[in-house]
Amino acid sequence: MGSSVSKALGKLFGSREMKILMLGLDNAGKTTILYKLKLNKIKTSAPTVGFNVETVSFKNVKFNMWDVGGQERLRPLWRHYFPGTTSLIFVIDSQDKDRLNEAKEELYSIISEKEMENVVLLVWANKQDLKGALKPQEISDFLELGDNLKNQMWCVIGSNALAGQGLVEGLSWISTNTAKK
Amino acid sequence: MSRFDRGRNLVEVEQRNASLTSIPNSLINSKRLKNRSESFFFTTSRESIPPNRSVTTSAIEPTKTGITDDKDYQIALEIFNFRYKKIDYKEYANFLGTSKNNKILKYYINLLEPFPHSLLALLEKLSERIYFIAEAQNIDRILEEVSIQYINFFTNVDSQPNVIGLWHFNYKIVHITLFSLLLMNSDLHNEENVKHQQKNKVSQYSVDTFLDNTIYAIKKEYFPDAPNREIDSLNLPNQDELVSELTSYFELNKNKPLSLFSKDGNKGEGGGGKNKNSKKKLEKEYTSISGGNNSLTVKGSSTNNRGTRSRRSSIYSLSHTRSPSLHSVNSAFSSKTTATSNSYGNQTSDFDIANTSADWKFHNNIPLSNLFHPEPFDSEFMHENFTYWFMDGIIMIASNSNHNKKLNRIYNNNSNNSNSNTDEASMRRLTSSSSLNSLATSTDKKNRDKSKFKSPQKLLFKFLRKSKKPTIFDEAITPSAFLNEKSTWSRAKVQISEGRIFIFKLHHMLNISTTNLLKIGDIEEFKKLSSSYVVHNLFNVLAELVQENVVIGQSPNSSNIVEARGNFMISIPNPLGKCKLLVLEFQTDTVEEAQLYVETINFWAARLTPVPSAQFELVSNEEYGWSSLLLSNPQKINKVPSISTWAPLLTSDLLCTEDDSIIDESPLQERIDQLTKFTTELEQLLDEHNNNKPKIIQIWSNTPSFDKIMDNWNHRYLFLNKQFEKQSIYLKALNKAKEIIPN
Repeated sequence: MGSSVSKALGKLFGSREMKILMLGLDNAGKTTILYKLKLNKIKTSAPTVGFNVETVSFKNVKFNMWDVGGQERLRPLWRHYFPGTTSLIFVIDSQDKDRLNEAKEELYSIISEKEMENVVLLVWANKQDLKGALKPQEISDFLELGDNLKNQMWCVIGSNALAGQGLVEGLSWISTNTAKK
Repeated sequence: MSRFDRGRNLVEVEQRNASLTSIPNSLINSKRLKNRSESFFFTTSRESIPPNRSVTTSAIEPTKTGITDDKDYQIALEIFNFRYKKIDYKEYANFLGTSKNNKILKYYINLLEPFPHSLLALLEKLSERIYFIAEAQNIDRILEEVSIQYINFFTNVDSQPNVIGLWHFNYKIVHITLFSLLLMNSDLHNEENVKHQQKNKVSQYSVDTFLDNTIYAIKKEYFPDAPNREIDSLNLPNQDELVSELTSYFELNKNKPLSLFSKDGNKGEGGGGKNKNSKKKLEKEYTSISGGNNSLTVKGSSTNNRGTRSRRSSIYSLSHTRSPSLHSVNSAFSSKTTATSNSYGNQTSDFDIANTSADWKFHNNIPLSNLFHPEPFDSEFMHENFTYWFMDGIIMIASNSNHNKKLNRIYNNNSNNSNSNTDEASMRRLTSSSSLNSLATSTDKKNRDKSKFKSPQKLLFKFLRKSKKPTIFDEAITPSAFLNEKSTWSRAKVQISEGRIFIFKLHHMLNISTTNLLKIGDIEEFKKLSSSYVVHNLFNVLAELVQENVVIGQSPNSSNIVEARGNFMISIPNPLGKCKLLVLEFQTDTVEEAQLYVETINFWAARLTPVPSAQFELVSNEEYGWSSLLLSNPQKINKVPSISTWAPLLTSDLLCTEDDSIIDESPLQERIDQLTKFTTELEQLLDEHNNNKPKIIQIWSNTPSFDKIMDNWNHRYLFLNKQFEKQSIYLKALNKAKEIIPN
């Protein structure tokens, strides 16, 4: 392997860890995703009172993921976590059409924060296995990401957290696009 | 804060309670009256009850309130006393935090009264009574309810205005603070986070960060109309006291994480706790925070109990009975094996067992997990040879395929190996792929460690990145042993069963006829007769009949190219970070037998492998040169910021081979439907992609990006085509198998 390639790979992934915030309305499937992604983790660390924070390892790439959320008044508390964040994952229940607007508002309120304007955005259109679930294109159209996010990389991927579908694809996309930054 | 503000917030609390709760006021009022006398001295009665000890109904006298018959109250009480059996106690917090269980939550929080003054002590009290790891929104709802009842509780204690005055009589500020405390606890003590901080040399959560963060959030609530840029310059009326209180919380929590409730023992588990403060010391600390008024006792939860966490051990054994199916010995689906003790005396926790590879389990006679969704018709064919469900026979396996050589070059670093040794080593490598296998010798391991070709680390990096060319899909797979006159073949027992392939490579010197070998049913006997053996699940595996693609004239000098014989090869994607693709080649006596092996393997692969549709539906603002916007408005070519390099994303099926667990349990018909839909979509995508080509050329020719875009187009075309071929093979295999299922 040529040194330039090694260098590039090292730059791409090295032993770097990525800090990722995973947000979304309740019941979107965040926790299921978080623990589905912990496929090859053998040792379970000591649990800590509070929020689910997990490091998902795909070999040398580590995704330090925070499952946070809550009401609007709590959002200022997340400020601390914004600056070091590599990527924002927003999980949407694709079948829950009644709450899509709420999810959209939540998403825009987060990405409009100054500290979040440079993070790459991955939207997991979750629960694709359920009947009537909106397809990623439909979710994308509804969220109007193309119209509103001009300078930010974004992607909507359909997922089924229970089967693991779309999850690796999503992290793979984040890996690539955060490396470009 | 003005009296008006205070009044407004109180009204808000009352209105919220009125609208959200249907708890009879009689309960709240009667309890409040009762608690008025207790609130100053509640080291007695309830507070002295150890966290894991149940309280009786009479302890809170619900009979006076007339709500004991309320089903929600009963559930709350059962949860409070750790007796609610419908869910695991670790899910209590998620259960209570669900919006539909709001009434139960209100009852539950009410049962926690009397409340301590200190919000950190309040959290401690909560975390001692419930396993408080939950989803963020559920935590949010619980803390909001705690906040509401906390304000209510002290509002009714006439002589305690300073307690909630600190929080501006506003439950929302209490809510924000509680949430912030919990974030702080996670940040300071969550092992994963601490490791992340240490590794990345990120400074740990500091008191300044905590204060800035919390005060900022409180100000946002207190001054709702203030612009963000002015928030920092505004001061809360009692900011100094607030800062002082919050600082003391930080110092306390830094030294001692919140206790994690454990049902198994009286001691809570401090998550990643560093210090082991004594109960007495903590009591003193909490008391001092609240100016001596709060005499909440903190139980022995400060003990870091990680060392005593129980690990359930299971000892497995296997009855070594003769059976025609390997799975009938090893699979939970085919037979229920008795768990006593195995000959190796392995003792492993359930968790570990679930995460080990099939190889390791098979070698240690531990039942293999079920990989598929069993359906009624499965039992009919499961052990019937020459069906799509089951194949078993003694066939030949190639010893010197190019791919095996490649494997050995990477892993064994022993270029002097003879063909037979090479094959042996590669088979051993197969069996040791999980790093748990005990077959590989220490010499093998040393050789692998010394590999001078490519370090495993670099291989990991290589595989992990977004696929660059050549991808696993681009890799040309051609049969080599079949075309090579010098190829050597070894006898092997190969069985396809319940989603796995079992390969026993028999000793070269073994002098038992194939007919007699077929009569042996004891798996242990085959293990002894084999130089090596391996079991591999069939996730994402593809089998192909060589004779379908290769037609070659018969050569009088070749022992391999015999028209009557059948050849097939199987491609096994290795887990991430390992060799990309493993190709094994087999030879059977007839083409028909090879065809049956192929169909059986593809049948199981199709049943187990999730349909990788996610990336085909991906929507992104990445531009590869053919977005619909661009194709419909070619003049926008100059506005494209940059052209991305197209490459397929990694998919979850690449992870499947590492674990011996069920990934997708789709029933047969559902999988057929999925594949039918998917292949149709792939066909459309291929057509669309082809149709776009002239437009793409027209738009991009004579531009600097032309070559890159055409490379993108080409890579995607190859990927789509390969996927279409593979998924079509899977669909065909499933449809064929379906035909023999009786209605």
